Amino acid sequence: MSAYVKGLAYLAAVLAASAVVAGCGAGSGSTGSASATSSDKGPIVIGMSASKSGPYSVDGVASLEGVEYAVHAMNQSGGWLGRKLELKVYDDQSDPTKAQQIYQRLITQDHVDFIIGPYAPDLAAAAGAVATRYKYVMLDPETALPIISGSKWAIMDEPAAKQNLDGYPEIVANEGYKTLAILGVNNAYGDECAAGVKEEAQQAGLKVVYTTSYAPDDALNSAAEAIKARGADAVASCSFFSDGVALTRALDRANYKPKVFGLTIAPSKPEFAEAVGNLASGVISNTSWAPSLKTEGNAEFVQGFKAFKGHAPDYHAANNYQSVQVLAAAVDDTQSLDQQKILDKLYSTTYETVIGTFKLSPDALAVGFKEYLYQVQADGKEQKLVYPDDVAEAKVATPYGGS
Amino acid sequence: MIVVQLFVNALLLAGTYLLLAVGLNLIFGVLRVVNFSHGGMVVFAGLFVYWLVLRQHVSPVLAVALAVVVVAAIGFVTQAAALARIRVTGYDAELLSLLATYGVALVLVNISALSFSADYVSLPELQGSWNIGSIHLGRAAVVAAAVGVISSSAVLFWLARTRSGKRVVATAQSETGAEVCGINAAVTKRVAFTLGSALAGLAGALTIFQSTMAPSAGLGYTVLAFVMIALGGLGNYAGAFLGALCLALLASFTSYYWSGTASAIAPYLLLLLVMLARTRGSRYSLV
Amino acid sequence: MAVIAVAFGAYVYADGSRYLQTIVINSVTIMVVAYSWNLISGYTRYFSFGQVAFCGIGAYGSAVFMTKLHMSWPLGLLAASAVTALAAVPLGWVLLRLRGIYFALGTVALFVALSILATNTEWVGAGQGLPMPLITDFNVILFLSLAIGAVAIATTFAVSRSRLGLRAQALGADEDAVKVLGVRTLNVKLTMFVISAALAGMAGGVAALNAGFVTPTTGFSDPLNTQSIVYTLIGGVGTVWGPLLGTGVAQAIVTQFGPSAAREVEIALGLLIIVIVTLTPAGIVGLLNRVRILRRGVIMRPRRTDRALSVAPGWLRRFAPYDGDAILDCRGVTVKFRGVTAVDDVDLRVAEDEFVAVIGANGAGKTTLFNGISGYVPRAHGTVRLAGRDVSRLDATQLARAGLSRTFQVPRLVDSLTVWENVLLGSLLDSKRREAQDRANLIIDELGLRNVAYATVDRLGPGTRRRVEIARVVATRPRVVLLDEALAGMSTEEIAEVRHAVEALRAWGVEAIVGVEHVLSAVRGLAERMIALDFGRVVAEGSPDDVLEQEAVVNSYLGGTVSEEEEAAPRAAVARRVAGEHAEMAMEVRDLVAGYGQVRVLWDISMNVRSGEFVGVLGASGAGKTTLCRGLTGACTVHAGSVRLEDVDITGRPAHVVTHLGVAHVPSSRELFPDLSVNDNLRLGSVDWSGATTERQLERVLELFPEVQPLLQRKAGALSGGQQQMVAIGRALMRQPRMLILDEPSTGLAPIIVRRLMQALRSLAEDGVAVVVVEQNAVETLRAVDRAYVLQEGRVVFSGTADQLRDNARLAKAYLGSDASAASPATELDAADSLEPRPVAAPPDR
Repeated sequence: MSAYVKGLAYLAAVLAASAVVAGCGAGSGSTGSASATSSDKGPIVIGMSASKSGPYSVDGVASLEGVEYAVHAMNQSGGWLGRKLELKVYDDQSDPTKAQQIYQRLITQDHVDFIIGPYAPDLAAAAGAVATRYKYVMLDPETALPIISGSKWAIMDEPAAKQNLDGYPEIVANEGYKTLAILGVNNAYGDECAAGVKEEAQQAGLKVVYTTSYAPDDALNSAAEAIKARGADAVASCSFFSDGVALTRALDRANYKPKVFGLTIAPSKPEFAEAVGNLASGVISNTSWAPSLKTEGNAEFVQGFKAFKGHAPDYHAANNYQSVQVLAAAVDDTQSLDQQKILDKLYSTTYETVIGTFKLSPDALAVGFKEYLYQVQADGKEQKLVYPDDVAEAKVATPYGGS
Repeated sequence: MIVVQLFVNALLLAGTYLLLAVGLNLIFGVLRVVNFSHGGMVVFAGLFVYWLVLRQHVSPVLAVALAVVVVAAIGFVTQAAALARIRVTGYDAELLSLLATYGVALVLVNISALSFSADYVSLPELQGSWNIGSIHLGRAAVVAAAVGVISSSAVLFWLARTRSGKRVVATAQSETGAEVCGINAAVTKRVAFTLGSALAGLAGALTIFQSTMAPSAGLGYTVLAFVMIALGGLGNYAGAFLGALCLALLASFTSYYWSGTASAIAPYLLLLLVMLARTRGSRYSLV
Repeated sequence: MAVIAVAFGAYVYADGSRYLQTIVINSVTIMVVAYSWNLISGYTRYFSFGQVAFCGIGAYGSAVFMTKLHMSWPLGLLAASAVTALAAVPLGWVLLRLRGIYFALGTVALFVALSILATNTEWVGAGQGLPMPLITDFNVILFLSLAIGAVAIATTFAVSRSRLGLRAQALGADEDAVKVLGVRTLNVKLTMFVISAALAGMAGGVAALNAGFVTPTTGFSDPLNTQSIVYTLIGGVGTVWGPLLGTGVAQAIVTQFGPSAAREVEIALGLLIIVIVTLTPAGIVGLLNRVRILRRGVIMRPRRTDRALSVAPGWLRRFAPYDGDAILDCRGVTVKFRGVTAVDDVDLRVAEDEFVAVIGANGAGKTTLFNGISGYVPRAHGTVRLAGRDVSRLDATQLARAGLSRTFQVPRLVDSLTVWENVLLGSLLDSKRREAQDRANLIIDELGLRNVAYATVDRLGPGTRRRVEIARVVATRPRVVLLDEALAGMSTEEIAEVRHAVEALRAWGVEAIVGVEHVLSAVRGLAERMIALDFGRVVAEGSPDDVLEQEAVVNSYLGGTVSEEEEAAPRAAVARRVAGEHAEMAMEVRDLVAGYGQVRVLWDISMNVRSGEFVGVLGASGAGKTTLCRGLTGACTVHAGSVRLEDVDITGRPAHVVTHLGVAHVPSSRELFPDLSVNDNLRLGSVDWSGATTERQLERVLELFPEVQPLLQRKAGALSGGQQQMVAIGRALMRQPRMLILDEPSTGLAPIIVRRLMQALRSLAEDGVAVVVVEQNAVETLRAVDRAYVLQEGRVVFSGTADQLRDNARLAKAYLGSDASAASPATELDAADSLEPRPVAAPPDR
C-alpha cells in the first residue's frame, strides 16, 4: 500500500508540474494581449486562420492576401474609429481541428477584436462552432455552404456553391450542344455544385450522360475514359485545384476534347496554366469577382492591391477584402466594437462591396452576390468574362481545344 | 474497345505498383519487418522530384536519380539508427519495429509538407499520350511502367541469379545459416532495407509525373503496397507481380464502371478480405 | 486517484483561463484515446493503428442521435458509446483473428475505409459532416472532459487489477501458452477490444460535442491517431499511468509551440518514437519504475494468510473419478508436416493413477506427439478420448477446460508477471476469486515457491521456472497432465524439487500423468510404464526396466552398432583431399560462461582442440551442448572466459567473422536455405561462389557425399534428413575450414548413416582439420573420436580419451541414470528409415 501512496504522490507532483508548464505558456500569452483590448489607444486586432499549407494552400494564401491588403489599405486611410488595425494569423494547414484550435486561441488567449473565417467549408464549420460559442461575428468569405444551422454568428459570405456554374448549361445549349458530363469532388462543395449544374442542365434541355464523384487524389484516368466512351459534348466539373488539373490532363491523355469544358476554381490560378500548359485555353470557369466589374471601389481595389502585393488580385482576395470592407462599414455605423451590435447591424443593412451587394438572409447566408463565368482565351493568357451578358467582355469561343 | 483501353491503363499503372510491392517484399523478406514508412518514402520522393524540377529547375532525369539516392540514404539511416538498435526480441521486436517505421513515416511526411509541397501536386512534364490505333498510352505512364518493370525485373534477376543476390535470399531464409556461411546478416539486412527504400523512392518519383500526390497520401501508399504483397503472399516475389497487377486492374475498372470513390475504398476492403482469407493456415502468418 | 483528478480539475477550473481549459479539453481527448489504445495494444498487445475508427463511430453516432433523433446530449453520448461498443463486437470478432502486422494493417484499413465511407455517405452529410447541438456553456464541456478522463483512468485501473486484465496481459505475452490454462483467448481479446472501443467512442463523442460538428477529417482524425499512440509510448505502454503521464508531459511541451507548428511537432514526435523504441521502450513509467516509483501492484494479491483450504488427498479434483479403463486413450495419432510424417500411428493409453513416460532420442517425435494430442498441431489421423469422452475436435482451451493440460519443453510463463499471477492465471479457471486465491496460495506454499511468490518470473532460474509452470498447470485442476521434459537441463537439486512437485500432483488428485523425458534416471523412479519412440513410431513399451533393457531403445539413445565392414577406406582418401592444406591451428577455451541474454547455461568450460584431432562433446539433452557450439562460434552471449584461435581472441566475435577465420559450424537444425537449390546452398558456403578453388572443392565434397550429386538441382527443403545433413556438412566444407564444429549431426539419422558420417569426419581430422562433434549418440561418437568431454548441467564433468570413456560408468549414468553398462548386442537397424524426409527446421512450438 505504501508504495501505492508514494506513487500517487509522485503522480500528483508530475501533474502539477505539467499543469504549471501549460499554465505558464497559456498565462504569459494572455497577459501580453489582454492589454490590447483594454487600451483604447492600441490597435484593433483582427484574427484569422489561413490555410498557408495543406491541400487548400494555393487558395488559402490568396485569401489571406485579400485581408492583408484590406488591413493595409484601411490603415492608410486612418484605421477604424481612429485606431490602427493589426492582423494576427496562424496557419491551419487545411486541417479543421487545427483551425478550431486556432480560433479558440485567437478568442480566448489572444483576445482579438474581430475574426475572419477560414478557407473552405469544413474549416468554416470548425471555426463557426467556436465563434458561436463565444459570440463573435464570423464572416466567412471562403465557404459557399451554410456553416452552422441555427447560428447567426457564423455567416456564409460569398455566392453559394449551388450557384457556382450558373449559366454554364445555358452556354452549352446556346452553342448548340446536347450532352453533358458532370463530375464533382467527393465533398459537400462538389455535391452541391454538381446538383446545381444538374438542375440547370435539365432546364436548358441538355442530356446528362455521365455523373460521378471522386476522391481528391484520383488521377481520373477512368473517369476520362468514361466521358470519352459516352461522347459527352460538354464537361462540367465541380473541382478544387489539383483535381481540376488532374481531369484536364486525363482528358488529354485519353485524346478527348469536349466541345465545352467547364471547371470550377482551378483555372483562376496562374499555377493552373503552369501545370497544364495550353490545355488551359478555352476552359470556362466561375468567379465571384472580376477586375472589370463596376462594383463599389473595385478600380481602387485592383490598383491598390497590385501596388501592395505586386500582382493582380484574384476573386479569393476580393472576397476577403469584401469581408473586411463590410466589417469596417458596420464598425463605422455602430461606432462600436461590440459583437452583438455589429451582428444586429449586419442583419439589418445592405452594403455595396467590391464583389457586389452584401445582404444577409435570416439563416446567415449572403444572398446578394452573383457568380460570373469567364473563359480562358488568347492561348491561356487572358480570362474574359462571358456570362452574364451585361458584364461580358467577350463571346464564348467553342469548341474547346479547337484552335 | 474501352475494356482494352482500361486494361492497358491498368498494365501501365501496374509498372509503378510493382516497384512498391517488390520494395516492401524485399524488406519484409529479409528483416521480417513491414515498413510502415514505405508510403512516406513514396511521397517524399515524389514531392522532392516536384520541388527539384519545378522550383529548382533541375532536369527531371537528374531529379529522379537524386530522389532515389536520397530515399535510399534515408532507408539506410532508418535501418542503422533505428531498426538495428531495437534490443528486445520476438513479438515485441516486431511491434517496436512497426512503431519505429511509423515514426519515420511521420518525419518524412511532415518534412515533405514543410519543404516541398503540402498540397496535391503533379509535374507538367511528359503529358499527353502516344496512340496505337484507337488505344492511347499516356506518356508518363509508359515511361513509369517501363522503368518500373525494368528495375523490378533487375532486382528480381539480381536476387535469383547472382551471388550477392542469393546471399540476400539466403539470409531471408535462415539468418543462422547465412552467418555460418560467413555472410554478415546485419549488413545484408541493411542492404535489403536500403534497396527496398530506393525502390519506394523510385515509385514515388515516377508517380509524380502521372498523377497528383500530397504528403497526406503516404499512409495510403503503405496500405496499397501491403495489400499487393499480402495478396501474393508475404515474401513471395512472383505473388507480388500478381498482386500489383490485380490492384491496378481493380483501380482502373472500378472507377470506370462504378465511381472514383469506390476505387479509393476498394484496396482497403480487399485488404480486409485477403487477411480474413489468410487467417488460417498461412505459411507466412505471424501468429 | 480521485483526489488528484479533482484537484487538477479544480485547478484548471479555478484558474479560469479559457485557453488553458481548451488545452486541457483537447489533451483529455487525446488521453482517453491513448487509454483506449493502451488497453488493446499495451495490455493485450494487439497493436492498433486505427483506434480513431472508434472515435469516428462515437462522434458520428452522437451526431446522429442528437441531431437526427433529437436525443438530449447526455443520452446521445451514452447511446453513441454503447453503439461503438456494439460495433466493436463483430469488428473485433473478425480482426482479432489476425496478429501482429496483419492486425495493425487491418485496423488501418478499417480506419481509412470508414473515413472514406463517411466522406461519401450523404446520410451523414458526406464531406460536410453533421452538426451537433452546440453547448455554449464552456464549463459543461470542461467538466464532461474531466469526467471521461477520470472514467478512462478508472477503467484502466480496474481492468489492470482484474482477472480480465491478468488474462489479457498473459495472452499478450504468449497467446498459445495461456490456452492450456483454459483461458478463452478470443473472449478476453474481444472484451478488451470492446472496452477500448467504448472509451474511444466516448472520447470521439465528447470531442464532437466540443467542436459542435463532426466531419470525416475530425471524426477519423489522423493527428489524434498519431498522438494517442506516441503519447502512450512516451508515458509507458501497458501501464495504468503511462497515457496520463505521456499526454501530460507531451502536451505541456507541444502546446508551447502553438497550433501552427504542428508539422514541426509531428516531426519531433516521429523522432521521439524512434528514440523511445531504441532506448527506453518502457517510457516514463519504465524510467520511474527503475527508482521504484509507480510500480505496478500485484494483481489480486491476497491480504489474508488464513485460508479455507488445506492439502488433503485428492483436494484438487475437479471431476468425479473416472472408472473406465483408460482415462486418456489416444489411438493412431499421426502428425505430418508438409508431407513428412513426424508421428506415425502412435497409440497411447493411460490408466487411472498411472505415470507413463515417453522416451526417445532427439527428433524421435516425442514433443510432436504431445502437440498432436493437445491440439497444438493438427493431426492427420487419430482420435483422443479423455475419460471416455471424444475430445479429438477440441482446441487447447477446451481441452484444458475438459481436464487435459500440458507443460512446455521450455517453460512458457508470462515473464513480466509474478509467480503469484502466473499461478493465479491457472487457478482462476472456473473458480471464484476467493477460492482461486486460496488454491493458488496453497499450491505456492506446497511447491516451495513462497519466497519468490511476488518476484517476476523473468528473474527466476530454470528449475524454479519449471516448478512455476507445473504449479500453474496444477492450479487448473486437470485430470491428466502432459509434462514435456519437465526435468531437462536442471541441476540435481532442481531435479529433486521438480520430482517432488510431480509426485505431489498425483497425491492431490491428478488422475494421470504422461511425461516426455530425457533424464531417464529421474523418470525411472517416477514412471509406472514407459513408451519408447523412434522415428515417430513406438519401438518399445512396458515397465521402465524392461524398456531400458531393449536394444532398440539403447540403440536409439547411445547409437546402434553397425557391422564393422564399412566402406571407410575410399571415403578417407577423398576426405584427405577435401581438407586441403593449411596451417596448424588450435582452439583454446578458458573458463567460458555463456548463455542467452541474462540466462547462463554454461559454467566455467575449459577445453582445447588441435589440428588433426577429432574431439567429441557428449551429454544428454539440456546439458548445454548446443550452447557450447554457439559459444565457440559467436552465436550466443559470452559472460566470462575466453575463446582463442591460436593467438586470435574470438570471444564474442560475430558468427560470420568466426566463419571467416576458418571455423565452420554445422548447427543441429542444419539451417539450410530451403527454397534454394542444393547447388546454391553449397556454393553459398564458398568464399567466391565459382572460383577455380571452389569448383575443385565442390567436386571433392561431391566425392565425399556422392549421394548429393543427383540432388544438386533439387530445393534443399525437399531433401530427407540424412541428405540435408550431408548438404549442411558439405556447405561447411566449401570454405576448406581449419576447424569443423558439428552440433548433433546424428539427429534423426539411421545408425548406418551415422556410422558413415563419423568415418568421413574421422578422415577429415586425419587430414589436419580440427573436428568437434557435439553428440548425444555416445557409442558411435566414442568409436570415432580421439578424445571426448562429457557435459552435464552446463559443466564439463569428465574428459579423457575415447577408450577411457567408453566403458566408464559415469557416462552411462549421465545418460540412463543407472549404473548398468550401456554395452549391448550388435544389431543392424533398417537404414531405409533415414531416408524419410524431415522438416528442415524443427516445427516451431508456437
